Order: sequence, then C-alpha cells, then structure tokens
Amino acid sequence: MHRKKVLLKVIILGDSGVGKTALMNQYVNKRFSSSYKATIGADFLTKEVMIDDKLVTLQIWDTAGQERFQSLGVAFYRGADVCILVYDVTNPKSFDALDSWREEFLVQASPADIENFPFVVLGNKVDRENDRRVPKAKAQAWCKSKASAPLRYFETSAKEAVQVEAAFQEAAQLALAQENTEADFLPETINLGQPTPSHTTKSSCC
Amino acid sequence: MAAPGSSDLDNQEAYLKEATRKVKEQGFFMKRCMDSSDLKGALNHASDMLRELRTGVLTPRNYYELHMKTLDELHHLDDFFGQLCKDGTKTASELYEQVQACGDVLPRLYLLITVGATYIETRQAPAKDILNDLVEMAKGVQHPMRGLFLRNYLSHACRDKLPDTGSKFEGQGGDVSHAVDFVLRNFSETNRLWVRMQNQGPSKERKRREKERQDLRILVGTNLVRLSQLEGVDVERYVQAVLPKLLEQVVNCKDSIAQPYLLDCIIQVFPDEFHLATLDSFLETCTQLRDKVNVRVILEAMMKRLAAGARDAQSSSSGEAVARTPPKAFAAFNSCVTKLLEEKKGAIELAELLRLQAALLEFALECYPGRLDYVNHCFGTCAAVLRQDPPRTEPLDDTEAEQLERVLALPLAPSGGLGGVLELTLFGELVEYLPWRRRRDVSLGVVRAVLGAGEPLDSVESVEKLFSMIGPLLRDGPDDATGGQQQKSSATSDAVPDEATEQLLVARLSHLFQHDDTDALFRIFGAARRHFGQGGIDRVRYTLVPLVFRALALARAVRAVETKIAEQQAEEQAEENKKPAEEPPPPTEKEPAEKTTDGEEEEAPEEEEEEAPAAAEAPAATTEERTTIKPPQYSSRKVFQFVHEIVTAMAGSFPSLSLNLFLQCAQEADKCGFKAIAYEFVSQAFIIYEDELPDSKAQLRALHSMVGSLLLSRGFDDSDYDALATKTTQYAAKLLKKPDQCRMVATCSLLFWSDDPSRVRDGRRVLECLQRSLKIADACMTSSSPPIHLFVEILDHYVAHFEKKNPMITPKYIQGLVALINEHIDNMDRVDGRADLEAHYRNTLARIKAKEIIPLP
Repeated sequence: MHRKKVLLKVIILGDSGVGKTALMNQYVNKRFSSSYKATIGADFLTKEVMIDDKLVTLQIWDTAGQERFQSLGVAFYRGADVCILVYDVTNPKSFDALDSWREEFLVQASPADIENFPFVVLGNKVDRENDRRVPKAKAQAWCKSKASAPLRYFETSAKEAVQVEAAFQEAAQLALAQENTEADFLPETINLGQPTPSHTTKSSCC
Repeated sequence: MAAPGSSDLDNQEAYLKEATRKVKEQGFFMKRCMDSSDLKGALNHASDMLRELRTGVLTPRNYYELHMKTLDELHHLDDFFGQLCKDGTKTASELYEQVQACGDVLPRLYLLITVGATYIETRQAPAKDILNDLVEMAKGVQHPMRGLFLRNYLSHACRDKLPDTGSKFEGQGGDVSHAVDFVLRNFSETNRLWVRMQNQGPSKERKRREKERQDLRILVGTNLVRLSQLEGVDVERYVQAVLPKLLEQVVNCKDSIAQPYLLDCIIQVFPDEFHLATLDSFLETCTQLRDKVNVRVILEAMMKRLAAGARDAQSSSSGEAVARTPPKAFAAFNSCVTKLLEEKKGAIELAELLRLQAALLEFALECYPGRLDYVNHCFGTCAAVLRQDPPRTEPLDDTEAEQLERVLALPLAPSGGLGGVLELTLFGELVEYLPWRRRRDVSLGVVRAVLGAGEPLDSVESVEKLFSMIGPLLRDGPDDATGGQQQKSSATSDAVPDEATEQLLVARLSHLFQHDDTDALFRIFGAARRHFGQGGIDRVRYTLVPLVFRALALARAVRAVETKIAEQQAEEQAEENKKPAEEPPPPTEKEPAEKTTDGEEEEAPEEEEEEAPAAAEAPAATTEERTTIKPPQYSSRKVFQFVHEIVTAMAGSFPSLSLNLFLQCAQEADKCGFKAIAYEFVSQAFIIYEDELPDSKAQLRALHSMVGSLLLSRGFDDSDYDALATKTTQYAAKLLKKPDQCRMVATCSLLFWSDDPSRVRDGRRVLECLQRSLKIADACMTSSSPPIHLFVEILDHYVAHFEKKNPMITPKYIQGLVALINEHIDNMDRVDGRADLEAHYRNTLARIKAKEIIPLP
C-alpha cells in the first residue's frame, strides 16, 4: 500500500552560505564539499528513515538563500511538516536573519497551528570554533524566546558530520508528531465517467 | 499566444483554486485506480490531471504553485510505476510504450518523463539513451512557460538518474560526458524558450513580459546548479566541456536579460577554483555582451566572490590546500576593464567607470593585502579617466564624487592593512577632483589610517607629503562657509564639536613625529608648525599644543646631549692635565659645546654644575667609548626659541592656554638649567596675566599655576626668584574679589618658605602674607556673617608653616586665631555650608591638638 507510506516535508531555510545544501548532502549522501555553490530555486532529496519503528520518507527541501534565486516565490513552503532554520556560528548576520526567515515561513506556509509549528534551529560550522561569533547561549536564548516550549537547538558541522544525524532525526520526530493534518481530497460527489468541463479549452496549442 | 489577459489577471485566485481542485480530484481518482491496480484508469486520470497544466491563464507564480501540486500527485504515480516493474507486472519498456498513447502532448510528455525515470532506475536500458530520448521529445512543447516547467520536471525527475561519475548508472548507462550533455541540452533548450518569450505577443505588453521572464528565470538557472552538482565535473571538464558551451550560449542568445542573469548564475553556482581556472575566458565573454548589459555588476560579482573566498581561506586555519588567488587574477580583471574602457568609452558613464575601479580596488585589497602597486594602478586608471583635454571645467556630480571618494577611502580602511598610505602616488591629484567637503572626509580617513597604522613619520618629506594629502583639515577651503575668523562670531554650537574632533585627530599626528637625531626631529617640527600655522587660530589651538610639548621634550633631549659633550670635554681636559709636564698642555676649550646662534644672553657653563651629579653616574661608559659626540646643529636654546614663537603667536587669542604653556616652558627651561630663559617665559606669562586675561576667574586659575610653577623651580637666582614671587603676591592682593584676594595671598605665603633648606626661607615674608590675608578677611566681615571659613583656611596655613618650623610663626598667632574663630562660630547663621565648615574646623583643631601646638581642651 504505497500511499499509506508516511511522507514528511522538511524545509531548510537560512541565509546564503550558511550551509543548507551541505547539511542536506551530509545527511542524505554523506558527502561534503567545502567550496561554496549557490542553490537556485528549491529542490528536494528524499530519504527513508525509521522513526519509532515506523518507516517514513523525508522529503527534504533545500532552498536558495539568496532572494534573487527564488524569483517564483515560495509556494513550496506550503504543506511543510517541520522547518529547519540554519545560521552560521561565524556570521552574526545570518543569526540575526533567523527571525525574518521564521516569520516569512509562518506567513507563507500558513500552518494550521502557528503557535506550535515545529522548528529546529541549527548553528552550523562549529568546526570553525575559533571564528565563532555567535555564542551558544545567545542562540539558546533566542530559541527560548520564540515559543512556549523552546525551539530545539543543535550545533552542527556539515563538514565533520557533527550532530547532523541527530538534528534531522529530531526534525523528523517533531514532524511526525505534528503530521500535516490537511485533509486528503474527498470529492463532493463521485461523478464517474463524466469529466467536468474545463477552462483549459482556452489553450490547446500543445 | 496564451498570455494571460487583464481579466485573467484579476481572477488568478479563482483560476488557481479551480485548477487545483481538479488536480486533486483527478489525483484522487488516479490513486483509487492505483489501489485497485488499474493501470489504464490511473493513466487516464493522470492525463486529465496533467491537462490542467495546459492552462494559459495563470501567471508564472501561480502556474508554479499548480505545477507543484501536480508533481505532488505525480510522485504517487512514480511510486506506482516502480512497484509495477518491481513485482514484474509490467516491464519498464512496456510502460514506456503505453504512456505514449496519451493524446495530448503535454500530459504525454509528463508521463513519459515519469516512466523514463523508472525505466532508467530498472537499468533495463542505458540511461544515456533514455535521457537522450526524453530531452529530444520535450521539444514537442514549444509554448515557453509550459515548456520551461516541463523541462524543469525533466531535470528534477532525472537528477538522480544521470550516469555521473560514481553513480550506479555509469558504465553501460554512459558516463559523465553523457550526463553533462543531457543537462547542457536541456539547459540550452530551456534558455531558448525563455529568451523567445521576449519577442512574443504585442510590444505594449513588453514590460509585463519582462517581469514574467524575471520570475521564470530560476527555471533556467536550475540547470546550471545541476551541472555544478555533477561529481564528474572537475576543473578540467569544466574548462574543456562545460564552461565553453555555457559562454557560447550566453553570447549567442544576444538577450540583455539572459546575459547578466546567466553569468551571475555561473559565478554563484560553480566553486572558486573553477573560476580561477577560467577567468580569462569568462572575462573575455564579459566584453562581448549587449550594450544594455551592465558589465560592471557582473565583474563586481565575480570579484566579490573571489575576494570572499580569499578571506575565508585566510581565516580558516585548517591547513587545507586552498586555492589562493593567483597574481594573474588581478591582471585578468584589469585587462578586461581596460578593454571595456577602450571599446565602450562613450557608452559607459564616468560614475560606472569609477565604480568599476572601486570594485577592482576592493578585490585587490582583499586578495593581495599590502600590494600598493595594485592600488596605485587603480588610482592611475581613475586619473586617466578623469584627466581630460581640455581639462574638465564641470565639477563631478554627486554620484561620481561619491565613487571617487570610495576609491580613495578604500585603501585607508583599517581592513585595507595598508601601512604605506604615504606611498599612494596620485592620491593628491585624485583628491583634487572632489568637492571640498568630501575632500575633508577623505583627509580624515587619511589621518585615521596614519594614526591607526602608528608608523612613525620620520622625515620632513613624509610630513610634507602627508600634509599635502590632508589640506582640507589644515586650512579653509574655497567653498568653506565656515571661514576661520567668521566662524568664531557666529559659532554654531553643533558644528564646533565636529571641527574639534577633527582637529584633535590632526593634533595627534604630532606624536608620530620621530627621529633619533634631534636635528632631524627639529626640522620635522618646523615643517609641521608651518602647516599647522596656516590653519588659522581656531585650528592651532588644537594642533600646536601637542607640538609645544613634543618640542619641550626635544629640548630636554638636546640638553642631555649637550651636557654629555661638555662632560666629555671636561674629562679630556682633566686627563691632559694629568700627563707629564713636558708635554705642552692642549688649548683649553672654555667655549660651551653649543653654538649660540640666537640672541639669548644666557651663558650655559655655570648651570652645568647642577647637571653634573646626575650625568656622572655613568663615567665608565664615557671613558670606554670615547667616541666624540657630534654637537647638535640645533641647540636646546634654539628649541626653546621655537616654542617661544609658537606660544607667543597664540597669546592674543588664547591667553589662558598660552599662559599655562609659557609656565610649562619655564619649568622645562628651569630643569635644563636655563635660568634666564625660564625667567623670560615666566615674564611672558606675567605679561599675559596683566594684559590679556579676560576675567577674575581666569586670573585666579592663572595665579595658582604661577605659584605652582615657582614652587617647582630650582634654578633661579635669589633676586630673580624674589622678584617673581613678590610680583605674584602683588597680583594676588589685587584680585577682584576680597575672598579670592584673601585666599590667594595666604597661598602666596608658600612662595617664601621652601622645603629645600638651601633655598629661600624668609619667615618674615611668610608672616606678612598671612597677616595681610587676615586683614583682608577682616575686611570681608559683615554684620550678618563673619568670614569664618576664611579664618579657618588661614589657620590651616599658620599650622602648616608652624610645622615647617618657621620661627616667625609662633603659637600665639594660632592661639589668637582659634580664639577668634571660637568666638564667632556659635553665632554663625545656619547656612548651607555650616556643617562642612564645622567639620573642617574640627579637623584643624584635632591636628593642632595632636601636634601639641597650643593647649586645647
């Protein structure tokens, strides 16, 4: 029964260059490349994981951090089950941007329960501890301030695979607990055999 | 052509909602069929669902949303196909045949791509063949927007099916060259569709079409991301097989929207090392773009990216072999810029040219820290652009000036790490093009950079050079409304602190003047004074003061050298004298080492007795070395004369300041043993006191300084000292307010009883001062409030002098004063200060008691 499979939609957001693609690649493909390659648009990779003895498919959406590479809008936020917010611990600006990423997400995704929608916050690049410019305590305080229960926070390194597995596992767990409750489509009347007239007649050149 | 009409635009929401409903409905039926393993039914419903994508009424963003919803459903079909192949119900090739039965092109192609992905997955046919087939078939859709989305789906569905290096489809399925070929072909078709949009439909809708194209552009750029994700695309393949194709596409599409976008994507999606390996061809392309394209933005993006990479490489100390920016990168950018200058001279605005140089400069500073030659080169290019024949008469407009200012300011930033600000040739020429206000800002940057670098200014040339760079801080400009003198009258309170901050920064430069040779240093001071002196009175009050102190320190240093020379000579002479009598005695050199070039009447030798003990501490060193010290060209007197001139020039405008400076000079001269010079300085201070001080408060402050200076002095002859002390006391007695007189005269008593027993100790004069002070206090007495506080203060002086064992100050004076105070203190009004006064008095009594000066209860 393929359709009974649980599919969870995970969205990764954050400023350009914080390591969103690297985190996903580390998690899904166990690969890391240190050179920066921008992402254009949004695309996902899938990964099957066991959560509490349940096989679930994670659809992990990697997104462009640069606004000009997101020209078609962010319709893909809709239907997300969990959102991973990423910043770079060596770049305070990327941390400051978390607020607007979170707000933008909540506006565009408009989840049913805005208060309790699950977020996981990742401070990435902890392998560059010497260059750290966002203290852990500051990030934790931010996580605490955002919801009645503090947002889950992980300090990760996509490069050295530190806490990456744990972070995604946690995200999946939260997503499962909160699984998208949007009702499946149920036709009002079951109209067998009679196709409804369509406005698509307007274009027919294909 | 099915571009959405205006009524369509109003109803977008309704259209999208309806289309989405249909997609979900058909998706639902499709899944029901899948549940009952009805392939045919599932395909029918899938086709119906995909037919919704044929709509021509949605805007790109809404179409994108619908597309996404459709793909959500299509993934179930994908799973279903996989399942069918897995359990052997159908072969992939059968499915591949079957979906082609669909009558409409668009749904058929979506289905074909979906099955194609499954087909590749089963590896029953080589990936390269299926990919080739799919990318060809997709040509069946030529409607731009539908085609763009279809190809986006193709790219998405096959992203993990490519015969990339290391993938499971490599080998029989092809190799990375096939993967690259597939993506490149999809890319060029995508780009063609996208560019073609521009020329379709009526020209009045051009604006909207361009907006739609801007929205859709990520569908084109995504293909480049795919290329950058291929494992098999290494630098070599990128150089040989990838970038040339991309650049060819960029140039040949001749589209002014596509060209900058695609180049921006290339810059962003591929790693630095790829760019460094292909910089020349990339930059070559930049010179072949449509005129409308702003090449500066592209070059700037590339430079920024490489600079950021260089910065990261520096900060990450991981020791990895990071590609450093090769020296030729600068040359490459530079020659590209030069070529643009030559070919498009008229077409590029001056502001853009300057902006381009600023970008190049920023890149150079980031990637090649400390390379002054690159900075100078950029300055040179700017100068060449700005120089005109005949010379430009119009000043730069604001944007141009802003960019030029940036060019000049960049090397001055702390991150620029440029120590040698003074080595920036052409700086002076370029700064001339700026309006005065901006020049001032740039000058301030120069001063900050020089102070920040902290490198000594050790020659007249470097001082001259620096001052030529910061002219606007040193003098008023032609368009400066705030002329030095006028400003004083109409002093706008908010403008003044700004000026003060600036001038204080300039003043700090004095501390960078350094040279081991006192003569050289003196020459530097001379140059500095000349420049500072042009600043007008409002500037010199800040700038010349540190120079006075530096000069005083120099005088001390010169004096030390002079003393040493004199000692050496004295020693030589002593040795000569010890030698046997037969030898003729050498001519005795009575003359002092210094040449008195000025008209000072002072004779040095007699003062040197005082210096002798200090210098004699190291006789061993002098006898051993025996190197004759070169006498300074500029004597310490000459230096004192120098400060004398400076301070005298300021005396009229800033009397209090100058008075203090004169006293400071006097102290220094006194320490050097120049009693006549010291006397002269004090006299100058007195002249200012008499002629210039504006009010009694300033007088009071000045008198305190004068008393302090005299107390510190050591070298005056008794008669001179007496004259100065007497004069000071006279001033004190003539102060405007009685209480001030009273206190100051009492204070002057200190002048006549030195702590040093070998110097003035005139008990009678002390007593006179105190008695006089008491008399003045008495005159302050009014019926209502006797000046008890003055009595108490005078009492303190008596006690102090008594303790100094001044025989004239006998206990009876103290006794009398205590009695006087006791008599009045209880009748005193309940004034504010009474508690304090009583406490003060109690302390004084306690002291008297402790020292057992007079018997107290």
